[in-house]
Amino acid sequence: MKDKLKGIIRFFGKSGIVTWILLIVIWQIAANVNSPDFLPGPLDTLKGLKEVAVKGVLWEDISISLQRVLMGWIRGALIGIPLGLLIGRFKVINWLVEPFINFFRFVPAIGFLTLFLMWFGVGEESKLVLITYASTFPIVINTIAAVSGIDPVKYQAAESLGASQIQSFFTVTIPGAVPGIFTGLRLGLSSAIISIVGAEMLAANSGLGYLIYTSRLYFRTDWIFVGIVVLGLLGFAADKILRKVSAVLFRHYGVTQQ
Amino acid sequence: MAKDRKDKIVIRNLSKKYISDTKSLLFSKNVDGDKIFENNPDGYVLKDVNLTIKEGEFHVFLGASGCGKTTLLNILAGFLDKTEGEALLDGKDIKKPSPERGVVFQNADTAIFQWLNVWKNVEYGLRVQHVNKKERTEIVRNAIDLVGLTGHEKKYPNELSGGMKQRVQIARSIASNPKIMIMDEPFGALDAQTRKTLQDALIRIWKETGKTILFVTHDLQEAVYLGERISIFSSAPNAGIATTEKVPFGYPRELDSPDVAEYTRKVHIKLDEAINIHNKKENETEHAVTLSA
Repeated sequence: MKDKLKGIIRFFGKSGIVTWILLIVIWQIAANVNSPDFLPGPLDTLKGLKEVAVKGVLWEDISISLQRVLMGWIRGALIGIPLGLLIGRFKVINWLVEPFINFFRFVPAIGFLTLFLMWFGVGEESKLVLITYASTFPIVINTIAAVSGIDPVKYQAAESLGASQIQSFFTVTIPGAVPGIFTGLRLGLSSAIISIVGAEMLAANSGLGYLIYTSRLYFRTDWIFVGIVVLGLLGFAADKILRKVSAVLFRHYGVTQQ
Repeated sequence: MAKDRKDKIVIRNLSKKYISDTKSLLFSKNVDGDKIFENNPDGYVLKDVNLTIKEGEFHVFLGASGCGKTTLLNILAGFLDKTEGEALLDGKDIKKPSPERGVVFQNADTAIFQWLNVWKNVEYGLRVQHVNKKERTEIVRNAIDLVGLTGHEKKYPNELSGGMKQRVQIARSIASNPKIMIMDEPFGALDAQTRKTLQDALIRIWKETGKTILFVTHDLQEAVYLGERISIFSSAPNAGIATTEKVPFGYPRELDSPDVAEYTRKVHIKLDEAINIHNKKENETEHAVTLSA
């Protein structure tokens, strides 16, 4: 009986349900003492959600934002992973590229928005370039760190078993770096989501960022909350999925990604 | 019986300076051993080392930690360049790592591939050497059987004990059929019980395969238990082989037996002497410095 109770407590504690309930309760209390135009409560937000969902705007905004994020993120991965592997493994490339990376990693993607608009137009391309830029850096940097973290003994072992440098790149560097690359992908995704919202606020006529930004014109604070909550949920879900995938993929690496 | 054996490893007047070599300009971090030499570019770690290891011999390097025995081993494995002298395997100069010199590293956790299961770890060398599948399967099965890991083929390193991981390393290096197996304190991190089991397993493997083994240790008892011959190292800088002793016992050995215990004591004295040679050297230099001042 006591064990059962402990089990239940552990389940609720671990699954984060308690935190969520607490958060919603505090939110509701705060909303009760404020006007709904200033701070809509969870119920108001739910009502707002229903409204935008029925109108169909929400799905459109979610899908367009997701599309931008995913497309840009995949491009960022396609650039960032090979680049990181090469920089991490080859000293000469490291010398050439590292100063460049350490300069641009401190320039946030949003800083490039107007420039990209001028270069790539107001269409989708400029947003894609922006997301690609935003997600590439965390991916590159984590990949480099992962490659440098591989113990030199592993390369010695591979070589003394007859592996050429190219073979050891594919059989030691890449599999050895994969967990770190996944961390980079996760951070890249969050960086992509952050940037897309900014980009959609400033230069788009669709997407979640656009929804949040334009809602102020109609004094629909509840819609703003809908946008924020949906963004949070999307990021949360995406990260959860990536963690689950990496936990399964890397169960033999002796590191748990949880 | 050692007389009719052919020379396997020949080391002549080999010296190694504390310099970092520029071998890996292109590749990052292949060898980190060189980094420690950067502080003292003109001194010698190893000075005038001479040694011949016979085919099929179980040869032990014994010396205090940091005495340069691992440096010599790294040169023989091909991970480090020598500064002067010769290091030959079957008359050929040793320049870079090769599967004909199998290496069993000290730390199995860093040396085996944690993303491959036991079978694939053992198979690795054969794969990169493009051995065909049929042959591979047979060799790997035999190697795994030899080290006593049959039934664990599908397990991943994180599911294995420390002793089993070292068995994987031994099997992995044996699968490539090396001319010599170079082992760097492979049992140092294991508990006494497991160490004894693996030492016995190693003697059995050595007898069954007839491999030449070069085994590095700082453990006196281990040296006496395993080695046919023991090379005792003086300490770095200017380290070298102070003396090479032929162990007058067959296998298996009882470390507790009076003869072996007495012999171990003698080796201990020689080891102390070897370390003292170095201390004496240092005192002499200090003395010389005082005189000239």
